[in-house]
This record gives sequence, C-alpha cells and structure tokens, in this order.
Amino acid sequence: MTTEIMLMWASVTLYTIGAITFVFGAVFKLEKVVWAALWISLAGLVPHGIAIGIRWAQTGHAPYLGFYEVVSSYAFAAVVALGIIAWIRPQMRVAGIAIMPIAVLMIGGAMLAPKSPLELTPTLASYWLTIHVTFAKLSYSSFIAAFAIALVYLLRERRPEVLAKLPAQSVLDDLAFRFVAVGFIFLSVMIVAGAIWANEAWGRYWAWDPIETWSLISWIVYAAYLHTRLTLGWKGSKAAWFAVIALPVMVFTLIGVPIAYNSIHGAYLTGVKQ
Amino acid sequence: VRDFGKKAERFLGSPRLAIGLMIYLGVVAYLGTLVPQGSLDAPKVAEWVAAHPASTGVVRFFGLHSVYTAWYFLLGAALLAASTAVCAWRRTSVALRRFRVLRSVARADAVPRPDFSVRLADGTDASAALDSATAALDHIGLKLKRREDRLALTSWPYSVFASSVFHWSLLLLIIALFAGALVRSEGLMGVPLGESRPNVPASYGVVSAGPWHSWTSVKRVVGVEDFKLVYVVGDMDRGPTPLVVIKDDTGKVLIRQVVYPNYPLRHGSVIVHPNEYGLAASFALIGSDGAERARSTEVLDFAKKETGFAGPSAFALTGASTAENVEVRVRVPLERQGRMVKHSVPASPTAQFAFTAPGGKEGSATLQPGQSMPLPDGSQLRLLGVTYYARLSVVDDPTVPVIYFVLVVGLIAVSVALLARQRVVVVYFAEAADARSLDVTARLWRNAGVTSTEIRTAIEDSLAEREEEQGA
Repeated sequence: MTTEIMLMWASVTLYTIGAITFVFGAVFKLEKVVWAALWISLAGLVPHGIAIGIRWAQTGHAPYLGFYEVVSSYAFAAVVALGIIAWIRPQMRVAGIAIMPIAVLMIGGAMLAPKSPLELTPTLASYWLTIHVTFAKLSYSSFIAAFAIALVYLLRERRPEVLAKLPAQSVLDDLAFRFVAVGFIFLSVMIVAGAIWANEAWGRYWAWDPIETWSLISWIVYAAYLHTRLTLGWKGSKAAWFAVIALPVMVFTLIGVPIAYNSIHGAYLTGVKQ
Repeated sequence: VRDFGKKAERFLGSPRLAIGLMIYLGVVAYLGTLVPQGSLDAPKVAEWVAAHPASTGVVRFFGLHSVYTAWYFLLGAALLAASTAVCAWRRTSVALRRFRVLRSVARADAVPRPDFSVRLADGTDASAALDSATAALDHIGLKLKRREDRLALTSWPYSVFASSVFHWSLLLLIIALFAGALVRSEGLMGVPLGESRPNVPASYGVVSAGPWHSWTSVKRVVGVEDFKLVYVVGDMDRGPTPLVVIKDDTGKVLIRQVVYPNYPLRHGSVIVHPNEYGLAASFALIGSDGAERARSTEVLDFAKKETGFAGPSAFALTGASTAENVEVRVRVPLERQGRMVKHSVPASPTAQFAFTAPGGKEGSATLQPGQSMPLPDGSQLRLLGVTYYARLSVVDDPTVPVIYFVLVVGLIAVSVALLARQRVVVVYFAEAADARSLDVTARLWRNAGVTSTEIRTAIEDSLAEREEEQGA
C-alpha cells in the first residue's frame, strides 16, 4: 500500500468517525461532541490534502482526471465547505450532520474506483481546464453548503427543540440563499469557461453534449431557485426544500453524467474517449 | 391594440412564466440527452433507430433526434427571450428610479422623507444622539458616515443596474446565438499534404451553413504545407499536427500556423482545428496517347475496426477524362509493428486499385508510385504518391466575439446583482418647536442584510440605554 493510499484511508476513517460523531452529538444535544465531530472531520483534511498533493506531484496535474481523483477532490471540497460554514457561523458547524455523510460516500466511492492515473491528453492540456475545474469545485462546495444549511433549517422547523442554539431560522435562510447565490456565480463562470475552452479545443462553444446540457439544467434549476426567491418571495421552508432538491441535480451533472452517458466530454472521469 | 399590448406585457413579464419557461426548456433539454442527436452524431442516430424499432415512431413524431432545433424548443426559447426582454425593461425602469433615489439621498443638502422617527428625550444633544445611533447601527453591520447633523450609508449607485444589465445580456445572448445559427458555417475539410482547397461547400466532406452565410464575400483557400505525426510542445506530444495555411484567392498567404488541440488557427471569423488525419493517394489518368488527362487525390481514413488498410475510398472516373464511366476503389496497405498496425505512411507505400467498368469489366492492381494499371478504354491509372491528409474542422462564425463579450458582461452583472447590496440609510437630527428626533430614511432593496425594524430597534435600544446611563 502506498503512502498516498494509506493517507487516503486515514482520511476515510476520520471522515467516517466525524460523520458518526456529528449524528451522535446532534441527536443527544451534546455541544462538546459536535465540536469534536467538527475537529475530527477537519483533521481528515490533513491526510486527504497530503494524499492529493502526492498524487498531484506524481501525475503532474491537479486532481481532475479519473473517478478516483475527481470524486475524492469533491469530498475534500465538501469538508472544506463545512470548515467555511463553521468559520463564518460557528453555531452552524452542525451542518456537518448533512455534509459529512456525503463526503464519506464520495471518498468511499473514490477508494473503490481504479486508481491508475489518467494521462493528460492534448485536448485537456489547457489553462482553461484549471479555470473550468476550479469553478466546478467551488460551485459544488457552495451548493453543498447551501444544501446542508437548508437541511438543518428543515430539521429544526420540524423539531425546534433540536439544535436550539443555532442562529435564528431567518439567518439560516439568508445564509443558504447566499451560498446558492455564490454557487450560481461560480457555476456560471464554469459554464462560460467551458464554452470558451470547447471553442478552443473543438471549434464549437456549445454542442448539446450531455454534460453541457446537464450543466445548463443545473444552471436553470438554481436560476429558478434565485428567481422564486427574488421575484416570488419564496423564503423559509419552500426555499430550503428547493436547495435540498437541487443538489442531486448538480451532483449528477458532475459525477453521474460522465458515467451514465456515452460522451467525449466524459473522458475526464472515465478516461475513455468514445 | 394598447389593451392587447398591456396584456401581453403583463403576461410576458410574469416571473411565474419566466420560471415555467426555464423549467420547460430544462425538461426538453433533458429529453435531448436520452436519444442521440443528429447534430452531434448522425451515425449514432442510425444505430439507435435500428436498435429501438418500437420507440422510433414516437421519437420521430416529436423530432427527438434534433430536439434543440425542434419547433417546441425554439418556441420556448423565443418566449423566454420575449419574457427576458420585458423583464429587462421593467428592471431598467426600477433601476433608474433607485439610481435617482440613491443620487438624491447622497446629496449633503438633501432632506429625504423619513420612514420613521425616533423621539429623543428633552435636552438630548444632536451630536450625542448621532453617536449613539452610529454605534447601534455599526453593531448590526451598518457603517454609516457622519456628515454634520446626519449619518448616511448609500451603496454603489450603479449596482442597481446590475440585474437589468444581466437580463439584457441574456436577451442579447439568445439573439446572438440565433444570429450565429443564421450566419455560421462549419464543416470538416480533408486537405492532403501539399495541397489546398478553396473554402467552398464542395471542398468539405461534411458541412452545414446558416441561410445567411456567404461563401463568396471573403474568398479563402485552405492548405496543408507540412504534417507531423509527433509534435512536442512543452514536454507533451500534441499528436498529429498539420501546418495549415490560409491564402486569399490570389494566392497571397494570409496566415500560416501549426494547429493542434487548444491551439487553433484564427483568421478573421474563421477558426481551424485539427479533427483527424489519414492517408491520401494521388493519381493521374493517362490517355492512350500518353498525355495526362486528369489528376486527383483520394483521402483514405483509418478504419475504426482495424483492417490493416487505410480506406477504401470509392470514386468515379467520368466525363472528359475517360471514354467510359469507371467506378474505382482504392486502399493503402499499412505496415505492421508486431501485432500493431501503424497509422502512418508506409516506408514503401503502395495502393491497391480495383475498378468496375460498364458491361461488368473488372480489374485490380497494386501499384507503387509511378506505376500504372490499364483501364478498359485504353487509358491508364497511374499512382503518383501516398502521403498524409489532415481533416480540418473549419468554422466561420462572426458572432463568437459578440457571444464572449455578452457572456462576460452577463457574468459581471449577475455577480453584482447577487452580491452587491442595494440600500440607502440616512439618519438625521430633526428639531421641531416641541420635540427633537432622529429621522430615519431606509430604502432596503436587495441584499440589504437588515430590516427596517432591526434598524429602528437598534437605535431605540441604544438611545434608551444612553438615557438610562445618564439617569443613573
């Protein structure tokens, strides 16, 4: 077993313990346990970050090629998003109850995938790749943060006695909206960068490839969220449900589509140019 | 007419319609991912039709193989464009009103109409009351600037235009995309090494052009002057790389550049990418008198399932060059390296020709460059050589820079619209004959971060606390 894989298993272990501890702390209203869960989860970032760094040095490219690299880096981004939430609003650290299980599922999925590195092809060798992928990860992190906050909002709406020490529901509602707004901007940058890059690499900025189409669908879903909020005044549980339902669309776009569809665009995840 | 116009404006400006149309277009776009699209891959459409005979009727009826150009998709997009236009217009009106408010309130001598007043205790000093209010508002995240007898906070005035600019950008984007479909041409052109092709539809193997595209307004010739199977840039092999040249119709070189993925050749609105490569067999038709009658080149692709040959390609010898119409097929045997077939020009290239003439006459021969085979009419087919050909993707779309510009403007606008605060808060000391108060004007439009009630409560609590302290 290589150092990288050992470090990855260490982070899987820490994330898993973090996820279990979050649930335990939230259910039994144990503040210190929730704090511990946060620190355990964030501690998992250390071996995970080093493992990504080792891989980066070995392959010569950032973690954006192949299921193992891509999905593992999304798990990393999810835990970073939790850290950002906890930093902005320390009481919101309990959002880990929603984020950590997703992170565990992702890193677990990555660990089960083939780990042989994919070669950077001439088509992928562009600075647009870095811009495109960076904003994909940023948008995903923002949306997963919004998802977690919205889930906490809905949970507390049903059982106000749970998570009583969190900020007011209106604050959670506003925070979820802000994460969606920022994520929407990142998603827009990702799509625009992708379109410009596609024109550079293939000579067309948009070809209705399944990944392009699903990116547009994700954009539409979040545009509809913002529209319902800003023009129809949807707030509270309606907006929270919207943020919760929207995330699977985004996750499917980033991870599911390259697997489900036979597309040249999916080579970054599957490594197969069909 | 005016009544109809108002109704149409109300209908198109409805946020529910806009949201409904977005979801509708999203659903239709999703349907387009379920079946292969003709615009992307016509052979896959044929394969899908053969594999799904039961669904073909429904799919054909709804035009699902070309869903993104189907009437119901274009109608939805047109309605969304109209809705966006109305929305952008309305938002511009609102933005102008807000802009005027921001500018007028920002003036030092302005006395805006107060939204509420907080009464001060008798004898309260103006400066002390404003100090209290400053501290209270700072506590809830509002940093007001002091100007003599007033406190003011005004957001960047131009931020109020962001939402309208974003919606105008979206509208312009839809229009530019539509215009692009009308004027754009794109296709795949096979150009053998050392040859050139005029940029006309006949030079393309696959081509599509919008109804407003002009092939004659700018006359260009596309040529390939060099071809390298391995082309290393920055420690990376960029793959088969042609040196492409674009000339005008007088033969003057306009631009010359190697092209590989992410490094296309640009000239005006034309952009050239490498798409694929193959071999090309050039040959001449020699008459019975020994004179050369015609010369041509056939491009030969490497088969997807390995056959050991490049090609075959079929062509017809017709017209003045031959006495009889003859169907000819040509292919080039490839070299092997172990079990692998090399996709390159063999060290000693040959080409296999086979012909079918009227009356069932047939013949075949394997030729080396310079060798000939006889045809039924007494003429001869002579192989001149075997070389590479580059299949180039040639796109001519003058709307691309416009689309990029609109996308960038839209991105900036949506970022400002979603993140920038749109608010103005003014607190000033007012003194009437019988009372003193802090009058507050608060216009909290978007991303305000606070409510009017929070502002009022903060000021009232702060003043009450101060009075208590003074009383004590």
